[in-house]
This record gives sequence, C-alpha cells and structure tokens, in this order.
Amino acid sequence: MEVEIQNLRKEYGNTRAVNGISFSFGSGQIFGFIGPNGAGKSTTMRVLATLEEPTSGNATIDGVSVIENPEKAHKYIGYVPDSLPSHRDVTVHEYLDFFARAYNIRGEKRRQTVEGVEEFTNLLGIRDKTLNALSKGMKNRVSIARALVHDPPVLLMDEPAAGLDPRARIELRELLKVLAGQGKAILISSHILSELAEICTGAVIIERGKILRAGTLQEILSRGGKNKHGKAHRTVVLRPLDRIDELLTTLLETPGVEDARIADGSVEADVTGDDEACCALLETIIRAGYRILEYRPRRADLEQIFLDVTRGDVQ
Amino acid sequence: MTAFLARLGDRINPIVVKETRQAVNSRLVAAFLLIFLAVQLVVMLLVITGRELSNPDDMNLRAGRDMFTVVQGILLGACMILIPTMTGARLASERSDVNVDLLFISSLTPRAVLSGKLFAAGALALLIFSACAPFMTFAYVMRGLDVPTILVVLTADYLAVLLGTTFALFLASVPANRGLRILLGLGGFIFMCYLGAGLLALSSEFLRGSSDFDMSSWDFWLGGVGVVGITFGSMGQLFMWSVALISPPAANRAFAVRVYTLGLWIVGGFGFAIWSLYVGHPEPMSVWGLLGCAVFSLQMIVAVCERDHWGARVACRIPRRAYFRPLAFLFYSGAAGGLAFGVIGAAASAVGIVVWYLIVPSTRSSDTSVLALIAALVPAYTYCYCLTAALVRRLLAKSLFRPGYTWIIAGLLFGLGCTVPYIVRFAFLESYSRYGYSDELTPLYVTNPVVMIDDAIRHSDTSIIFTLFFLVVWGGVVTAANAPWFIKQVTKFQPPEPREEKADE
Repeated sequence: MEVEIQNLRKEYGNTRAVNGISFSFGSGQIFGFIGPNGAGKSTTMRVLATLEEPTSGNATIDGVSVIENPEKAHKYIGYVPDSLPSHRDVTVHEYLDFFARAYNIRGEKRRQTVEGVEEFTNLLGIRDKTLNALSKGMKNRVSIARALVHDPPVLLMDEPAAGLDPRARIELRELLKVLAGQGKAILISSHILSELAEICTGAVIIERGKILRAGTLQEILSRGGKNKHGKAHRTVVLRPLDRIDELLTTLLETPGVEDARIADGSVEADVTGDDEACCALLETIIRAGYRILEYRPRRADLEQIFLDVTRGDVQ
Repeated sequence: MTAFLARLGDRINPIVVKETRQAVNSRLVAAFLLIFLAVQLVVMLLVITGRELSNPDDMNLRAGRDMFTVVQGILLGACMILIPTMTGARLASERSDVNVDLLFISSLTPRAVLSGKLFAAGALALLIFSACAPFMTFAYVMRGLDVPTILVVLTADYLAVLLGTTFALFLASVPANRGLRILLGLGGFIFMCYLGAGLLALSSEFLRGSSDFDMSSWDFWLGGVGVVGITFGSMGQLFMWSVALISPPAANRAFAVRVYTLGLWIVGGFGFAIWSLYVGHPEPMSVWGLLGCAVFSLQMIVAVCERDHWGARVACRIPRRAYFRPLAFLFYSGAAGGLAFGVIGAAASAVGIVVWYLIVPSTRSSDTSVLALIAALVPAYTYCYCLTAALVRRLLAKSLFRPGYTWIIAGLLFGLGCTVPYIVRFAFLESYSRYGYSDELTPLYVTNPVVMIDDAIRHSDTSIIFTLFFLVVWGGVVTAANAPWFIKQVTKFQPPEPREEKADE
C-alpha cells in the first residue's frame, strides 16, 4: 500500500496553502508531518482525507486517486481530524457502532469489530458514557477508534497528541507503534517533535506550503542542520585527556569553528561544513599536540533540524 | 424472529439508527413528550369542564369534533416546532467544520445522510402521533366525528410535518455563518407558522363539514391526490437541493438536481394537463407554467453561484463522445450549463402556457396574455439581475465574493433596482398614486420587477412594451458582456486526455 502525493497545490484566493508538494510513504511506515502553524499540514491532510479539493496535482492510495475517485479512496483511509467528536446524546459504543454500520459491517462481525476496537483503544470501560461527558484525551481515543473501525490500511492523524496528558501521549505512541506493526501506513502531524522522532520512520518538514526536507528519519538526521547563514554545519564532541581550557581556546581560534563550549568534561564545537570538515578539524587538533580520548560527531535531532530549516514564517 | 430483526436492523440506514438513538437518549425529547402529554390532558379537561359548567343541560352533538380540533391543533403545533427544529439544528451542527466526522468522513453518501434524517424525523413524528392516540380515541368516543375524517386530518398533519422537516433540512444545508444561520432559522420558523396555521384553518373547515370538502365526491379525492403529489414533489425538490448543498463542491452535485427538476416539470406538466382537460379550462396549466418559471428562475440564481471550471472529479466523467456533450453540459455542475438549463426551462414553461391556451381555449381569454407575460417577466428579470451580478463579481468584487456568494450581489442589485426609483421619485418628483408611482412615471420603475409585473397585470400596454424593450436591451448587454465567460466554459467542457496517451507523450 503506497500513498503518493504528486505536485499538490491548494490555493485559497491569493493564498497558496500548499505549493506543489510531493512525497510518498508506504505500509508499516510512520511519517511525521512537521511544520509551523499555517504551513499547510492540515490542508494536505484534508486533501488526502477527501475533504478538500486541490487546485492542482494528485494524491493516490494504492493507485486510487483521492481526487477523482474519493468514494473508493474513503475505504482506504482512517482520518483523525484535529477536532474531536462532540455529538449530543450519543454514547461511545453507539458512536462506533454507527460508523461500523456506515462502513457496511453487518451482524455479528460488527459487534466483534466494535468490541475489538474498543478493547484495542482501551475504551471498554467508558463505552456507555456519552461523548459530551468525555475528557479531551478520551475523545481523542474515540476519534482514533472511529478511524480504525473499518480497518483502513492508511491512517491520517492531524495533531492527535495536542492537549493530551503525558500518560495519554505515551499510550498514543505505543498504539501507533502497534498499528505500524500491523502494516498500516501512518501520516501524523504533531508539534511535539521529540515524540515524533521516537516513533517515526520518516518525516516531511513543510513551511509556507513547500517541502523543506522529506525522507526517512535516517536520511533527514544524517543531512544535519544549517547555521544561521544557511550553510551546512555539524556539531562534534571532543574529550581531551587534559588541557581542556586550552583546547577550548584553540578551537575558538580555529577557522571554520563557529562556536565551542565545555559540557560534561568534553568540548562541543559547531563546525561549518560537512563530514570532511570534521575530519580536518580533528587532524588540526592532533597536530597541535592535544591528546584526544574521544571524538564523535553529534547527530542533530529532529527539533534542531526543524529549527534550522524553518524560518517561522506564516502566510 | 430475532435473526430476522437483526438482519432488518443491518439493512436500516445507519443515520436512522443514530438519530433514533439520539432522540431516545435526549432529555429534551423526553421532557417535550411529557409536557406535550400534560398539555393535552390539561386542555382536554379544561374544555370538558368549561363546557359542562357553562351549559350543563346542553346536548352537544359536535363535542367530539371540537375536542379533536383542539387535540390535533396541539399535536400539529408541537410537531411543527420540535421535529423540524431538532432535525435542522442537528444537521447544521454536523455540517460545521468542527464536526466533520459524521457527514464527511464516513462512506455514507449525502443522499443517505439526508434520507436517514428525514426517515428518523418521520419515525419520531409517528411516535408523537401515537402518543396522542388516546386523546384522539377519547374525542372519537364523543359525538360528531368519524374515522375517515380523523385519518384524513392526521395524514395531512403528518405530511405537513414531513414538509416542514424537509424545509428545515434544506435551510440547515445552506452554507452560512452563525448570523445568517439565525436569520435562516427565523425564516424557517415563520414558514412553519404559516404552514401550521394554514393547515389548521383548512382542517377546521374540513371538520366543520364545509361543502368544499365533500368526501363522497371524486373532486375531493382528486384534489387530495393533487395536493399530496405537489407536497411530495416539493419535498423531493427541497431534498435534492439539500443533497446538492451538502455534497462536496468537487462533485457533480447539480446533476441529480437538474434531472429531478426536469422530471418533476414533465410529470407535473402531464398531471396539470389531465387536470386542465378534466375541468375543461386551461388555468391549471397556467399554475404549472408559473411554477415552472419560478423554479427555473431559482435555478438561474443557483447557477450563477456555481463554479465556472470543473475539478478533476467532474472532468473525468464528462462524456468522451462529442454528441453527448451538449446535453451533458446542461446537466453537469457549472455556472454556464446551469444558466442555460434555467433559461431553456423557463422559456419552455412560458411557451407551454401559450400553447395550452391555444389547445384548450379559456372562457376568460383575457387572462392568457397576462399569465404568459408574468411567466416571461419573472425569469427575464432574474436572468438580467443574475448575469449583471456575475459580471459585477468578476469585474469589481472578485476578491470579496467567491462565486458561491454571487446571489448576495444579485440580491443587493435587486434591492437597489427596487428602491432607487422610489428614492429618486421622492427626492426629485412630486407625483403620487396607489403604489407610490403614477402611470406617466412608470418607466422610472422599470428596474423594479414587482411594479412592472403589477403593471402588466393591470394591462398597461405602453409600459409592457417599454418593459419588454428595456429587458431585451439589458439582457442583450449583459449577455454580450458575459459571452466570453460563457464561451470559455463551453469550450472547456471536455474530458481530460486519457492517462495512457499522456504517458506516451
């Protein structure tokens, strides 16, 4: 099952919410959709969920266009919107049963399906409560359960962790891992990057409707970040046997080193350039007579890369 | 039996199940039912006690009829308030952007959603009607009432509730912000009041045994079938509009509406023609023609609010065979096609009246030209205002108004066209007559269709000629100005090239 977004554009009047983005992800992958507010994440999600029509471009799920054939595409998609269910006079069980009926699941199979989903999302204890009486975290779970009722191969989750307490977030994370293990293709947008980094296999960083980075998490992290001038940079950690203060001074005077600081008995240095520049720096330090116990590049985390590549612009 | 019921339960529209569950769970519905029954009981006791106290020796042979009139009045009023309001409000809340899950995420079609809501409302109405049954039975046990009369009145009440609910669903489907929604709700409430009050007046006459309602005559039952037919036809039209309104803009949502409108127009034409031949004069066909003109005029207003381009979803369904395309153009979503459909339909309705008057000569021949003129003027003014609005939007207010809001510009222009002549007259001239204008100043009001149609009815030949001349010029100018927009849509109405060919290129 492959989800493919091809040159997608969405304009609202003069505003380009999504500006020609293309990426793809497949079964068993959890793709993080990252971007500042107003970047175009929710719009892209809504297009994929067949709620919005794009200005141009296409999106396909297993070859079925969500634009030309939304009725068929519906069956492949489980969408968790950023708004939570809040319908009056409906219990959790009735709500899920309604969706099972809507997806044409009949008889005993429907009962089993709804109970299975309730158990999987830990809703059995509150199945007879009305939706209005639920907390945000519980409603969120109901929303996810609803998206799972028809066992879709693709899950689109728009800010599912927003407003959740730490326990609910951990549970959500575990739930997503299990779902990915079941072979579902998951696209999840969130602002909590540290959590995304823990569960995602890939990511798409988007700003002002354009993709800044996309690929597997390994690819994105290995490309490192950029400094404030837009040049590639790396952070390296050096642990000298002695003369740590002298090493710091030397590093600060070395061309190509943007900044250096002492942390936990080591010196961290921000180096302009790629891996070649890091090797050259090590050579320079050893030639200068320093005895180095440990030398390793520190991989940028998702948060750092996000800060490096985005400018925080809104449109 | 259980297995059969379970299978039946599986076949029922999920929306019906959901709505019924919501109604059963709802404290509001429970409270309403209890209050309704209490009111029925108290009113009944008051009527009986009052009657006994005022005339203890009077032998009233119509006590049952009077009691039934009161009971069914309360029933109708209660149902006309609760059911349409509840159904409409629920749809409006589910249609909002924060509640996309029920209507837009599931695989249910808009038609299934609305038919489910209507069916559930019908079931709730039946529940309330049945709750009222003991009171009806009590009224029947008293004198002056028979079972067929009760059934006819209750059927009429039930149909009115269904019509009111369909209207409420239509209003709830209109995309609107909170302010406009409140206004629409108010309009809907006024409509319900009129509908309920009108039906109460009619049913009172019927229960009183008026000679106009003789149940032993064929005329009564034929008239009844006609009214039921018109009610269902109107409900179908409102239903189709509602389905189109909640369908995604990317869908070919005009198709079903236009097919239904055309079907209703043709079937209605046959029905009214038979009626016309039966009564031996052409007036029923005039009603059909005028209704047709009104519906197709409305179609024009809707059409200018439609998009002037086709998304991928509609485009890939445009017929590949060139000879099917002109017909498809009239029925597919799109401003130009909708406008053409409305103009052709309105013209056919107006011509239909004239032709029928030639086939079945009227005993009151003077009405012919007036009705045909009204049938022509209503769509002609609508056409001119709509095309002017489309032009204004594209040239002056493109950034302010999306195509969907062109009706607002048309409404504003219509308002200006109606009021500016009065302002000019009161500011610069000093003439007065019955409607605020005098005959020599009639041309001043030419932009006001109400005045000019009224003038046409009063057989003012000079102003009719002037009005027609003005409309021809106005219509010609806006048609010419909109011609590039129209032609562009006609030429773009083509299916996309097949994918394989693209790949070859």
